[in-house]
Amino acid sequence: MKVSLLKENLRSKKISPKEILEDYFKKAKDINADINCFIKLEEEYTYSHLDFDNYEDNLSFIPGVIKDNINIKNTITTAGSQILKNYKSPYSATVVKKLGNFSLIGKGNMDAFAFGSSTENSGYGPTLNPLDKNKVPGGSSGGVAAAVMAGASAFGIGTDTGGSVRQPASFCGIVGLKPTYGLCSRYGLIAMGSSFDVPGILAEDVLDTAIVLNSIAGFDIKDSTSIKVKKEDYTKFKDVKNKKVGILKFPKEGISEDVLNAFDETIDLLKKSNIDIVEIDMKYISHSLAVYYILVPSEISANMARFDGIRFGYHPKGEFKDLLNFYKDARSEFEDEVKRRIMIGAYTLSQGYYDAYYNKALRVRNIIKQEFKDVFGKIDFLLSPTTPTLPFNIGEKTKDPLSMYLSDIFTVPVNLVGYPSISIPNKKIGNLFSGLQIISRPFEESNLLSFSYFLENKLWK
Amino acid sequence: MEIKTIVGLEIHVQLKTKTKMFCSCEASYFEDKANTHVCPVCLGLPGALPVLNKEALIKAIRVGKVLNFTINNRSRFDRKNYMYPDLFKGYQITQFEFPIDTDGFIDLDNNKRINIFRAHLEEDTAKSLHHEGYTLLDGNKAGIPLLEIVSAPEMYSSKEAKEYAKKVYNLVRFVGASDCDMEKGQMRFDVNVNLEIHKEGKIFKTPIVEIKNLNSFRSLERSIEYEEKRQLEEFEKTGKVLDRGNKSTRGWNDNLSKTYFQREKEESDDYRYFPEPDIPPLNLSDGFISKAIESIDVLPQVAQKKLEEEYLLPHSIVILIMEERKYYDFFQRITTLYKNYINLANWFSTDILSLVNQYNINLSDISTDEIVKILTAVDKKEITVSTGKQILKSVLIDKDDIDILLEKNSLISDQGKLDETVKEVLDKNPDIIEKYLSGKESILSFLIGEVMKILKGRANPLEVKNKILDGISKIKSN
Repeated sequence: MKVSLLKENLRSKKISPKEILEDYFKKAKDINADINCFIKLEEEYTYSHLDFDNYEDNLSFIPGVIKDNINIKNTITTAGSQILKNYKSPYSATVVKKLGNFSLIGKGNMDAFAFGSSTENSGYGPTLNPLDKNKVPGGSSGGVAAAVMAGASAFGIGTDTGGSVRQPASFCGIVGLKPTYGLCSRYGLIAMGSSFDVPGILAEDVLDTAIVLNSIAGFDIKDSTSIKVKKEDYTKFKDVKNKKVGILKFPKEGISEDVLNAFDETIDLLKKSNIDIVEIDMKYISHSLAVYYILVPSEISANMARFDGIRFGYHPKGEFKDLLNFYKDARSEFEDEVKRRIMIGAYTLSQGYYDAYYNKALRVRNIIKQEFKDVFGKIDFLLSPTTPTLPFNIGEKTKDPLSMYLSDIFTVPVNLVGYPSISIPNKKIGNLFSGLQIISRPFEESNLLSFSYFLENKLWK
Repeated sequence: MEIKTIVGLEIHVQLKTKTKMFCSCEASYFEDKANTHVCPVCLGLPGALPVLNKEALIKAIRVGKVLNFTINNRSRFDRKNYMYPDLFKGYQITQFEFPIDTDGFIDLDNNKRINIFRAHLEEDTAKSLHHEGYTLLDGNKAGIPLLEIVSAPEMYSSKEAKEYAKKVYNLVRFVGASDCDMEKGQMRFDVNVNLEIHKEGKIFKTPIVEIKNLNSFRSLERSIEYEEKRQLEEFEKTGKVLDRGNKSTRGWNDNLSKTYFQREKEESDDYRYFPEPDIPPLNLSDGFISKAIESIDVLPQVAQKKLEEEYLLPHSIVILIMEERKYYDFFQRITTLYKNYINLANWFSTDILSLVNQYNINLSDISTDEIVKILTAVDKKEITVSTGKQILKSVLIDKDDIDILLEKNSLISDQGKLDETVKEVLDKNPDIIEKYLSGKESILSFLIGEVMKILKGRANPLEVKNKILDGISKIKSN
């Protein structure tokens, strides 16, 4: 059930908090048995922690699924990795605190440490796409997206470093918002690429997304990269008919027919609705994936260093000749993709290679930022497909990391520049959906959601 | 053969702040129970983020000012990557490329200028407690703000190195940036030392040795002296000269007064530095920097000038007073009421300080009023100097009442009484006078003593002596 509807039913007393819990935990158990979307269901925790008298919070009693790389005090927080399978966090992430008195249904399955685009890299088994169980749900927030789509939760909080909210939203046929870098606090998100990571929202529709954003947006003194901005009510959608829309020009190679057709139909629809449209050719954006796969592993190589087997998580047992052998044991427990990215990052930062890789990538990132700035001087929104293909089969790309990386080709550039972007369902194709990505200027989530709401109505009503 | 020692110093100073560098844990942890000053941030738990402590920044600016640094508006934090159990995040947040303070200097007493490359902010590590077969970690020290002050290799003897270090120590303490208590590890030295040997028209440089983690001026001085000898011997034995990759690290064994080999650096360590993404680059306004500088109430340069030029104090006492901010403050407090500065300086540098040190008295607890009363009474010859010193002790240690003491001990001003007493003593001791007149002059002190005894010390012994001599010469001429 949608967040907006649940809120209405709670207000009108058509449904009680207890009924919500009973209903959702029952569904969640069945669904989880079917598609493995939760690393852990949190029934016991929620019954004991929920304040049954507090109806005042924006999301009081609304069922939510939280990606398992977001800390919640006194719950096991695994980041999808076996290395943290018994790690009980002593504190809560700021976004979790801001959600207030919501009903935590469970911790969403994910690629270990959010390294992946299919949730197949999870240390707890892959999540299946509820729309077609032979397909992946996308990733890395695949468990969260699948849980929301399947109705095990009304909304979800994921994290997005290169598309990890938008791509699974697209694959599961729901809405996924990556807010501007700095709008929502990163405090308590287990870091992947610190200058890219943001918490994001997964929900059934744009209105629900806006309701949740009302809760989690805002400055946090504990995150030095968070920005003070004026408080807004994101559910007050504005008229966006006069806005100028850019259509990203992109090479058609590697983009599936279904996705292209869906995207073209949407452009036609916009034209028919008298929206001002212009095609946008971006020269440097094609380097985004290369830049991303240098800078993010570089940051990962440092962010993963704290998992050393000493203070928390997996702890090597036995006697060790020296510290190095202890570390070797501790860190051999990492999943393959984790090891791969640590090694890439250590290499790109190392002496003699730093300038050729890290520094050059940083410079190109700045060029791409400038290009976005220039483009958004002319347009208000930039449209592209969210993903180049529909959901792929489970196991199809696990042996080929490079082709897996390509599934983020439309979403990654946005994280390089920190802009907000959203994926909304574009077209139903068989049981599956293709997604539409809309990007706007930084901190213009209000416009972005208004335009998305407008499009959602055009496309689906 | 001419041998020149070349020394460069890295000084680590724990800045004195209320909270740690990047979290709100209390920074003062000395002797507290292990792991009681910790939180997700300084423990490096997954998901925690650093938030820069402004107070550390202000203290770094204060040090920047007194060590003549350029204080940069723009600086940045970087991650220094290496794995060790006491480094909880697996990287240290430090300033690599763009430190807050650059290009400073200090002038030694002989006016030689020692350039200081930089001072950068970073976080301290946890403490490892090694036991047989296992090691415990205490996170109380993790994340304490550090300022690392890196000199140019411009000190050419252990004496110069020590003088430089001592000056840094005094200045940093004077502006309240750190207590620099070396027993508590609040100031540590890493020394880089090698020799330049001029021999047969050629110059040979011995491999650089870094001696790590020295925690006293004495070990600083002695380790350099030890290395001077050791490196020369090694050079004469092996002829090994400085080369890329033969820098080595040595430790200091205080009991044996020896350095010992720790490791050779094949090449410089690769710390894979990169900009810290969790802390935006600093862009300090001129206003922020000047406010931080203004927060130093007295600049040491200004204070020293005042002592030298306004109070005209001798150099040795100026140096002594400048050693401790509290000395200067105490001296200043009294000068508002008492203007015989040199006399005050003498009393301060000898009697007051020795009592303060011996009885562990807090200078700020001493009443300026009492000190001024004693000094004035001595100046006015109402009491003798030695009585003054006794009163000082009674007031400071026994907390006796100053006014009663002065009253009781003031010299008798009644000349009649004094003359009478001298006459009485002379009359009683004709045999002593005899001895004196026959040449045993030292016996005079017995007579003075007798007079002082009767007067209970409340007379000026010199005056008494003169009166006795007068009396004796009268007797003689009779």
